[in-house]
Amino acid sequence: MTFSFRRKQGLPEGSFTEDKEFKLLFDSLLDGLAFADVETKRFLAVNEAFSQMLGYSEAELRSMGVTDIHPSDALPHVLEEFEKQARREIRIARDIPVLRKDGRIFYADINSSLIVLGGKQYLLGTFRDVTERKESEEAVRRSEERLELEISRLPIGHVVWDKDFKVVTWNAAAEKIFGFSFGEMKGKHPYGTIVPTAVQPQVEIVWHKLLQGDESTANSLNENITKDGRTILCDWTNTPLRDKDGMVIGAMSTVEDVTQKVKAEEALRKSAEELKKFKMAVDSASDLIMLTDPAGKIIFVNKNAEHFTGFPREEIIGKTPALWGGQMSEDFYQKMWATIHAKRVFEGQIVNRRKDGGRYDAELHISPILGPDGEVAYFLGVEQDITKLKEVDQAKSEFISLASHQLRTPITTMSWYLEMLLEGDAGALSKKQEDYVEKLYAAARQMNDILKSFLYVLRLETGDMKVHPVKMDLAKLGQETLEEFAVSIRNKQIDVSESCSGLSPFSIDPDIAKIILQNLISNAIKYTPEKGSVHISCAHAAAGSSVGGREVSEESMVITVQDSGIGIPQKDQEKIFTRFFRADNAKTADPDGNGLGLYIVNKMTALMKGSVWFESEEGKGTTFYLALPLNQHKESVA
Amino acid sequence: MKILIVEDEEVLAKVIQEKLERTGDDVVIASDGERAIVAARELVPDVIVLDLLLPKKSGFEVLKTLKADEELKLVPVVVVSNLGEESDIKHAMELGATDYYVKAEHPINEIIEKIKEALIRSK
Repeated sequence: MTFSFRRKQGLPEGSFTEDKEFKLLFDSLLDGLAFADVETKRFLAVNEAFSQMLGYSEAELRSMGVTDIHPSDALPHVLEEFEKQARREIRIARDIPVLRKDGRIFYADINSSLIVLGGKQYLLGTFRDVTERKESEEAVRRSEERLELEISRLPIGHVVWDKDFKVVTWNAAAEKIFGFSFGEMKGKHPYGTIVPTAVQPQVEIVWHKLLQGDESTANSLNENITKDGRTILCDWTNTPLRDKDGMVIGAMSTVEDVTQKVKAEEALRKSAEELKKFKMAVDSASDLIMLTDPAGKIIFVNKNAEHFTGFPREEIIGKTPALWGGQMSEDFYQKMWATIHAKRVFEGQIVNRRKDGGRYDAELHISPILGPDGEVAYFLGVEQDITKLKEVDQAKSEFISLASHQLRTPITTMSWYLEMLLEGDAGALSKKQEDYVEKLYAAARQMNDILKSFLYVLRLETGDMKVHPVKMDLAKLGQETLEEFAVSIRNKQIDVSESCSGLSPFSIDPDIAKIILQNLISNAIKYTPEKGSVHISCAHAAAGSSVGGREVSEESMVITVQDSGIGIPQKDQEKIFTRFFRADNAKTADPDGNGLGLYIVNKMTALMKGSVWFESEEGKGTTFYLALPLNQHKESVA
Repeated sequence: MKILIVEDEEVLAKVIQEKLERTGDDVVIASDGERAIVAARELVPDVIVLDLLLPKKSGFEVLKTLKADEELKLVPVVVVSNLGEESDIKHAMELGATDYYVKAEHPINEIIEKIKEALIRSK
């Protein structure tokens, strides 16, 4: 290919002294060169580098113009730049997209010189491929954009403050944390916006240190408030910002909302503390506490297990409680396992053997702990050493025995001799003497009643009282009991009726039943005015039937004692079964009562697995209901 | 009828004695457990009224000895004591007592009546 610049394009002769030298120079340049007519925008000459840049042959290019080598959408801009260059307004048109023959685009900086030859204007353009630079710039821009996006997505707020502590930048995360948009915060002070008044002094110190370039308070944890008024806990990291002379011109902060994190940590710390406390409590408990797997293998025992059994804890873990047990009958253990395997609580007194062979009495309590599948996951066993308790019980029983004998003897002496006096065994008494002796006799009986009540309470509370049901005629029991009060009934002219006849014999502990009836009948007579009425009745009640305002849960015998007496005031009804409690009107009617009768009735009824309740209206009368389940009493007999 | 009263409380023994003698019975009082056994063997009474808390030998031991004695085992023994615990009553009945009465719970006339009933039953 030859350079035929002048000849073919009709350039004036003598413009270039040496065609060949020019061509050499022109072609040896690494940058692409193109010589174009400003008016027609056609290429008059191109060099080899230009040809290579565009992928067209030189010949092809000489038949083309400026408009042919740029993407059409960029053409207006390219032509504008071309015109500017032609007017010498600019020398370099930067980042101009150039369209290659193969359709690919590269970018070029076009440095052009205006050349005027023969009154015509030409532009000599030097094309430098800047694709690489452009791509790397693009890559940097994209990565910056991505970084910005990532930063905006981070939950970490980013804030820049000027030296007056006013917001300069405020990222999306800061907006999210505090609820204030950048627009709302721009140029604002944090006081009055996100710093609560109480925290201001603390923040002020940090800010002053930052202004002095002191970074010792770079980290601060403080409370902030959000736009909607919530108090949140924020973790701030602050750095002073300096100008090129090192002067502090503001500060940059990152901020994280750690409210939830701190709360979670607090909760975790608390639960760890609770667990520690719980473990301490379990360890310091005076009972033996153990946790076993469903097979009875011990997973955990408290410290006191060592004291109970004499085995060190590490010897106990992994074994079963048989390590210190096995002293009871086969039957006992069978019953125990059957109960707990049926997912029920087992309670019983047990004798165990220490490592040294010594024995101890314990109250054993085993609770099955069910897993989410409803099956036994663990057993929780608690042993309470009752050796001391047994000693105390023994002492109480001895006291009861002593009291009963020692106190009853003088009471018996008084009663019997007073009876003899009344019967005239020591000669006839005057009316007045008889009256006095009767009063003495009543006092002796009362003393005996009080003693009896105390003994019942003691026996009920030490668990000394046992139920021994036998089949008996309730009507007979009722009549016998009423008989005991014959004198009072006659004196007060009380109309008494009893309807317990015709019922088949009922299994009941006669002694306990009698005490209950004595108390209920005695109260009915005592608190019923002269010429009033007392009615005693017995009836079967089917399970679910309603008696005295209550539903009877199982088939029962219900004994009713109804009177037309003073009634129980509404305010006292709740406390009526309480030990030593007496209703106000009862205190007035009978100052001598001891407040133990109904307490004993209630306790004894519970002992027979029955229940007792009443209906009463002050001034009208009271009805007591005593329900004793039939089944339980049948079983006891069998 | 011959009645042996085993009772260490003299005042109480006297009351029972007086009441029973009034109806013509022969009454002997023994004030401790050992004397009770000697008197029972000597007297072979128709009925024995027995207290339980006694010096030297308890009423339970006396009862056991009486019931083991060929000559005395059929003599009804009415326990009249101020021991009122269920376990005491059960124990005495198991040892062969005919009846059991807690003194403080019964008027003297009732006790006398019960003794008489036992006498009649022993016939």
